[in-house]
Amino acid sequence: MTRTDEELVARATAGDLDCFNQLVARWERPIYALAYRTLGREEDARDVVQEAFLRAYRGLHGFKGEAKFSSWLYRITLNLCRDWMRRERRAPIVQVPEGVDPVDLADAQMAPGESVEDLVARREMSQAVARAMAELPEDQRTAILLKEYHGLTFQEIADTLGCPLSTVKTRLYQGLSVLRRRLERRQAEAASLRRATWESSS
Amino acid sequence: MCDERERLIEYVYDECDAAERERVVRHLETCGGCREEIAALRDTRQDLLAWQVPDHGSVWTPFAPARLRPWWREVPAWATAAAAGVMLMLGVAGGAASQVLLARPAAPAAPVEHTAAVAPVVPPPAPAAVEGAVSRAEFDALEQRLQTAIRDEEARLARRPPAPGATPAGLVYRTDTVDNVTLYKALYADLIRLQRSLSELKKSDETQNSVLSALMAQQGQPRR
Repeated sequence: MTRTDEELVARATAGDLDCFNQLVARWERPIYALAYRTLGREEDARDVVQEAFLRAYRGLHGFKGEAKFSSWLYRITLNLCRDWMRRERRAPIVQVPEGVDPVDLADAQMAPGESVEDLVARREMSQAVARAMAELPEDQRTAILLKEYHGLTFQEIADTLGCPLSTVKTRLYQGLSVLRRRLERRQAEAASLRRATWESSS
Repeated sequence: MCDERERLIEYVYDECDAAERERVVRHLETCGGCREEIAALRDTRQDLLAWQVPDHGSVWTPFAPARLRPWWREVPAWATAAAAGVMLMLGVAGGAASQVLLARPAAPAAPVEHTAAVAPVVPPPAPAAVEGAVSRAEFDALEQRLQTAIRDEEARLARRPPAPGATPAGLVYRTDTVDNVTLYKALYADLIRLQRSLSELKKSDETQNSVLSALMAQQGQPRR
């Protein structure tokens, strides 16, 4: 029988370490994804994930269940990411290689029916999105991360970030609008580059 | 573009009620700017799906840290209170028992002539008469003494079968009742029971006094 987060939290609070480990197993991947997309570097994300779960464990007694456990965990992670960026005094890193390495492509997971060209395009888009997201203001980026990649509702985002509901909607709208312009510009630049490459080779 | 940002974002993420959704749909039928805006937002959301997180192994090693609560916090409050009560009764009962059992019978005191001019003489307290102070030690000493007496008596009986009448030790064997060895053993068993259930002995002063008096009588009987 699968226990809910709340049941696992209650048991973990009573000292059942196995239940806490189950919570970690359940939420590690999303938390890592949030940390990675916020900080942009794998090793930093791993450190933050470790610290986030340690803090969560130490703070279990303070978790009153007013919000979802996942929202509480997201807030801990985002606070750690913010501390990390302040400590490092820099914006998120975009840790993506320049260009596409054919060797790397050989190891890549291709979607069913996906051609190499499609895979290259997907990777380029991934890099473009990562760069565009890294350039967003932190509050807009965080709202988009929580909404697009973690599926939180507007209200859950507002609770996690401690801001009004309307602010969440505004941040999402503004963030998506800025992203759209930047992605369109990058796509135009990429198309121009491909055209120039094709013309020079012909 | 219309000033519909909030409604458009609710519509794009499907977080509006049916009535609001219907209202936006009707608005989009007549507003080309908002239709373009909705399409652009959806395209951007589609592009965001391309951002993949690198595969990674687990960064968490299941751990077994120290307990969240010290063990004594997990003892129910009632158990703690009961333990405290038992300790209190142990001390009180031990003190009382030591007063009765271990106080040496003093030699018959000479009658004291009390006069108005002479202050009453207060005899010094017996060493073991401090209530609750040496309960365990006193019981141990008593146990030791009884064991020694039993061993001595058994050894003596082995050498010389008991016979009615006076013995070199001055003890009197009463053939119509139990012999001294049986008496000592019974007393020793009583002592063990007393040690194991002091709390019961203290249920009431009357119970305690009667039991202790019986024990005292048993102890003093062979020496008469």
